[in-house]
Amino acid sequence: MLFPTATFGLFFLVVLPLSWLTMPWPHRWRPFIIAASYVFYSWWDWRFVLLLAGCTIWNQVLAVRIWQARVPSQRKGLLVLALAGDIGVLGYFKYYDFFVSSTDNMASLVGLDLPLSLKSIVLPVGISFFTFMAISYVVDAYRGDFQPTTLEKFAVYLSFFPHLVAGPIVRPAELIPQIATPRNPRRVDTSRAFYLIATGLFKKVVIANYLASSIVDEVFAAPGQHSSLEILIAVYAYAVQIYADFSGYTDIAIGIALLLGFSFPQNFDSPYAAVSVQDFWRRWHMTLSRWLRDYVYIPLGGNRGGTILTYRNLLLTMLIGGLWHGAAWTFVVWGGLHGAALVGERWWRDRRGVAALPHPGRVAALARADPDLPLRLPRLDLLPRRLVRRGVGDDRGALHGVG
Amino acid sequence: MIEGLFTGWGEPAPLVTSGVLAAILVGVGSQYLPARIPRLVMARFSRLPVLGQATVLAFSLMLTSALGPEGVAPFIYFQF
Repeated sequence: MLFPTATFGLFFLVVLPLSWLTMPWPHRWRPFIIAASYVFYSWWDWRFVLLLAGCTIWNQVLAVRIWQARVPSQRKGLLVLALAGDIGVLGYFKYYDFFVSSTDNMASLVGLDLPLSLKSIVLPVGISFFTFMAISYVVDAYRGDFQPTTLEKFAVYLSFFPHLVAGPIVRPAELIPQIATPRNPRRVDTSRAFYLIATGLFKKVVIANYLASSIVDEVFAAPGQHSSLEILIAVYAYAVQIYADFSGYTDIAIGIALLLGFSFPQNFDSPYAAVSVQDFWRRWHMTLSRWLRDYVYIPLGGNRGGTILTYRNLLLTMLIGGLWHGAAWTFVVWGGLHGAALVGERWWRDRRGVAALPHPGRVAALARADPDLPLRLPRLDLLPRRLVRRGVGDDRGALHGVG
Repeated sequence: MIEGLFTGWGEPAPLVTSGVLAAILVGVGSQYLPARIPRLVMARFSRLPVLGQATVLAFSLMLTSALGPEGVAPFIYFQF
């Protein structure tokens, strides 16, 4: 069920008034919104709902056990168990075929013929987003930052349909207190909500879809049949398309959540006007950037272990960020390029004491040419075919797939 | 793809239309708008009476529908 469709319009036409009627009484609203969110999610495939429900129960049980455990080793063991379950499920659905094909390709390079077979697993839509939110919940419980709530409230947190399939990645401390308290339908900021929904629809339908159908899809499908100018413009058009597509989605999601009485964090802040790669990641998919910072970069040691370890942590974090975006080597290279750029920028800053190139013209060139090039990389045929995953569609197809 | 960036200059480019260039310009140009402008537009919209807001909203939806291509492509980030 896509936001800019009549199906979603009808769904929301039923859900919104019922939500407003029940929201002053959270004990009535919560079962209603869980049911509505599960209906929304089942529109893709009803089996995905079982996965979502299973993920909810798994993380709730372990978060509560972690919170209650007194012995540090027991708490750590439970955390490892919770993370193994979350990452295991994500790895199976999202990366199984990628790892099998990569292992098979590497083995064949040294003359080994392994009896591995692909499963062509259907990727449950939004699994990367709700898995990361579930990980936030158990890790925050482990750190003592957030006391686990009831199963019902956690189920709303994880399944709430405005953020379910493509974020923003909302923290437990940001959403669960809102879920726990009565919402007043008379205090809903409808003006801001409608403004965000209208601008989000414009970005998605007019800018992103128009560029995709007018130039991007055609050129990327058969670049050899197009002139250099068309390829160059298509590359820039794709950068604008992916921004308009995702930030448009986020605007609509935030607007819909506002209409339901909930506030989500900002996810984009004019990323192509960034003055450095670090600045770019503070502005692009902001909720993912801070998730990677707080749950990957800082646990790896952050910048606490000296220069070399900081560089290693930056690279590892961005490689994981790249792999999160897609199960293909192009995404790994994309993450590696961003990591290398962040390391280079940090090295430059440490050496020269400035974070970015100072001249406005050079800053503008950097903002346009550097940070968004890696965003386009996953659509470019830069890697040898043997490194591109086999049998599950190439990267171009993956970028168009609903999963 | 990369090779094509360098070898096909001077060839016709029928896909590079004024509409495509305008969409890119709007997409990139909007990033450089001062933050106060969207806030100002939102504040003015908020001050409109309900009927005015409904009219603006209906007009913007009609404009979106008229300018956009037919059908709805899946969101790119759904694959993640």
